[in-house]
Amino acid sequence: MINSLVLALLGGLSFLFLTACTPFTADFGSSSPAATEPEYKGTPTDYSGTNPIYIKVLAKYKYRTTAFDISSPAAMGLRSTTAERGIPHCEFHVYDSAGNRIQQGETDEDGYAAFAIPRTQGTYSLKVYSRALNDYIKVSVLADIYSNEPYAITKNFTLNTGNINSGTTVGSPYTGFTTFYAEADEAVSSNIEGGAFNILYDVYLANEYIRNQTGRTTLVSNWWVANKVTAYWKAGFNPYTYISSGSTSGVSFYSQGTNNLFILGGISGNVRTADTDHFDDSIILHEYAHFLEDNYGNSQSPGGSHDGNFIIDARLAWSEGWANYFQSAVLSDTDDVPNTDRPKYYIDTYGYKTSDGDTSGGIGVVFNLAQAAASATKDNISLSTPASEGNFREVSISRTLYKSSRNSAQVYTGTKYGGGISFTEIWKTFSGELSSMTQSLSNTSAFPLPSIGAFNYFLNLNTAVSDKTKWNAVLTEEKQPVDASEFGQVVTSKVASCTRSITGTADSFMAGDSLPRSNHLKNNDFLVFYYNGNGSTINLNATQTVAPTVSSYQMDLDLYVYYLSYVYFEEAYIDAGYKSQYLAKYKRTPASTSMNESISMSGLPSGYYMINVKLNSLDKITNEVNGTVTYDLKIGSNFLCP
Amino acid sequence: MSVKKTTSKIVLLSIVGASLGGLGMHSYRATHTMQRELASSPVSSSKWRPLPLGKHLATINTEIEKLESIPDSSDQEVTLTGYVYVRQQLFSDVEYKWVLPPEVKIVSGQISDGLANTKSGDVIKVQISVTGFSKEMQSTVTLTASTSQDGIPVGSSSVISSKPEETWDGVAQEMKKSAEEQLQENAVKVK
Repeated sequence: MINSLVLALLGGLSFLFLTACTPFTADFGSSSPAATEPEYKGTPTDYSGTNPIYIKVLAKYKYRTTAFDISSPAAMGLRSTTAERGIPHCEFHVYDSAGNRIQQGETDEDGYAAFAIPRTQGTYSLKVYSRALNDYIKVSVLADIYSNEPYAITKNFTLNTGNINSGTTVGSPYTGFTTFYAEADEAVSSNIEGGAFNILYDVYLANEYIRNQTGRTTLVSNWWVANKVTAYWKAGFNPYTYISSGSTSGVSFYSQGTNNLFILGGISGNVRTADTDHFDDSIILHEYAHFLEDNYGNSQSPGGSHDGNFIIDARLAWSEGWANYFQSAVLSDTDDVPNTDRPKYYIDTYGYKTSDGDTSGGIGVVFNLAQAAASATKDNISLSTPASEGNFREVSISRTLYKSSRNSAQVYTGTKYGGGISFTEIWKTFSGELSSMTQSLSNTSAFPLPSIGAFNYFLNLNTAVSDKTKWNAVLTEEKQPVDASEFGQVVTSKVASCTRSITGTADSFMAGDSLPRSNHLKNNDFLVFYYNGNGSTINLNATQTVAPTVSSYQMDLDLYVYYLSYVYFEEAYIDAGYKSQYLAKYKRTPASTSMNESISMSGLPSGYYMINVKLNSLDKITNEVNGTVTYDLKIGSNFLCP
Repeated sequence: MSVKKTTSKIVLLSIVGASLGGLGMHSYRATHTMQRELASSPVSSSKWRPLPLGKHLATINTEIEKLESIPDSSDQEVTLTGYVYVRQQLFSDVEYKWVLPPEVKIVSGQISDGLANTKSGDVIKVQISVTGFSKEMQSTVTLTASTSQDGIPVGSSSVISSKPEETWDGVAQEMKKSAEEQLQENAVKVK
């Protein structure tokens, strides 16, 4: 089966792989040059004046179902059983027996291809493509970055004496041709075209959700559809190998700034036991949410590791938290707390099961967005968790957004009620659409870098909910801030002084990781500053106000200035002699020499910078850094303050 | 859940200091111009790309070590080495299983086993020796591992191919390079 699968996969690019004994050549360019995506043709040709035959055929796709019922854990995962849906709003072409395209159009929302062609007996082909470029959805699901070819399913049909006189009007088309399918089972079709159409369908779901929730459903006057996105996907293919070869496990990802999604189709031709994502709606919608962030929000994620149990960069936490939330919002469809388990969860499967006892497939990643923070397995937030720590925790952000946007008359768990925030308010704050851009993350002069704190700050201003008690309860439960004071607050030159303080903790390690990571909440302050190019100097003036438990140690603040779109650079890297292209300048004077730091901005271009005041904590235990140090930042004779 | 407690001799449970800092990425930064570029933002980003080791947020990840050489003949023996990375605190045992196609036969090692008392950060090394995994024909071997989190079975799988050059994964980078070169040429022609 694997060989036939590989054969079919490779055949699409004219590889010369015929049998296991035939030498394979990677000379894919010799007969099929790389090509850009074919032109989209979905506008029908008008045959109305020629007595055409009107025909209507239903196109559907099959997908493997996901079993997810908390009461039946053994059954959980992607299953071999399939279900089917109509293929909505997709491009189709009709070809005559000579291969001439004689008609084209788009399926309706239920998957019907309705068209008119000349009333001539003969054999024809109807092809429905994994593309849409219309008012409902703008997406192309393409096989790879070389061929840029969409997937197609074909229905061959014949007009003969038995049907040639049917379908005389648009209102009564000929419907005698049977439904045709994009298949989900690799044994039926090795390309698993159903996977391509499922990706497309999820993008459609997301567009419908945003349209309906934000009330933009009146064509022309008040309508919404997202910009075009391209999804690259191929059955049995791990798209991460475009970047790095040799991996035996796979990922899906969004390529920032390109509008391209890459969805995991399997590994090395294997779709049976390998991790695949084409039927994982959570993953497809998660990656699409990154596309939305890139197009409509403020996408500034630096990437990096995130295991759901660690304090991470606030921008990464926001970006991933948003994407995790969005998938559940779409799958929940409304703001009601779902009656079933599936929509409340983020679910990533691997392989598929033919029976409950089949261990060839299962759940890879799972978490409940409606779970109480204090009992959560990932990003557990308890009463003892420091205030605002949720700002740096991805899964907590996902839960916060989901709970905040549940119906305030309904409990999401125990006795906890939804926050009553509408998706409209969330979208408004996320994108700046539906209102002034001023109070949204798209207003990058207010907050050049996004975080849940900045988001909540604007959401608080935007929400029409008069009683925010329940929303505030969600924020309290998840230890989420309503301002950007812990990350990305903009400071400017002020006459009046302001001070901040840091009470530290030891560096920690992500599970299985040898890199000591500084605590972003406790050991760091992150302040954004616009430098006008005047050559001024930033001064950090610090005073230890509380000694650490091991009083022979002195609290030691360092000063880092990053370019705005930066990747945080751990002290361990600096001590190891590495350099960062993101780090404009830094000073790490030992406290024993001076408590103060000073950085001249001379030589740096004007623009926004991230000022990072960071406790020197490398190789120290908590009792050596748990004192308190108070500081101010000055520029010239003025202070840098919010 | 029934779990065998007999830890195989070839299973080495160790806490490895090797960095897992590069556990894949759902979103990577390509060279691009920002939509709302800010004055000091570099227009190109880091070229550093972490190697993926499966999905972020996974409770456990698996990986099979790339073979330095794959046997030419199916009667030759080869050792497959896999790793199970424990990414979260566990309250259940970890079970692993090698899934072999019919042509691949196990010579030594445990095809499956259960491991108790694993904890977050552990890296479990598992090995089997097989025949039939060779350049004579395309075979894929899968390593799966699973445990339980909040009563939900969770796991991971990895796949290794005996003829990677005959898979899309094996030619992806060459294809990407070729596509970029050719489409760039076309772009120049259009201009």
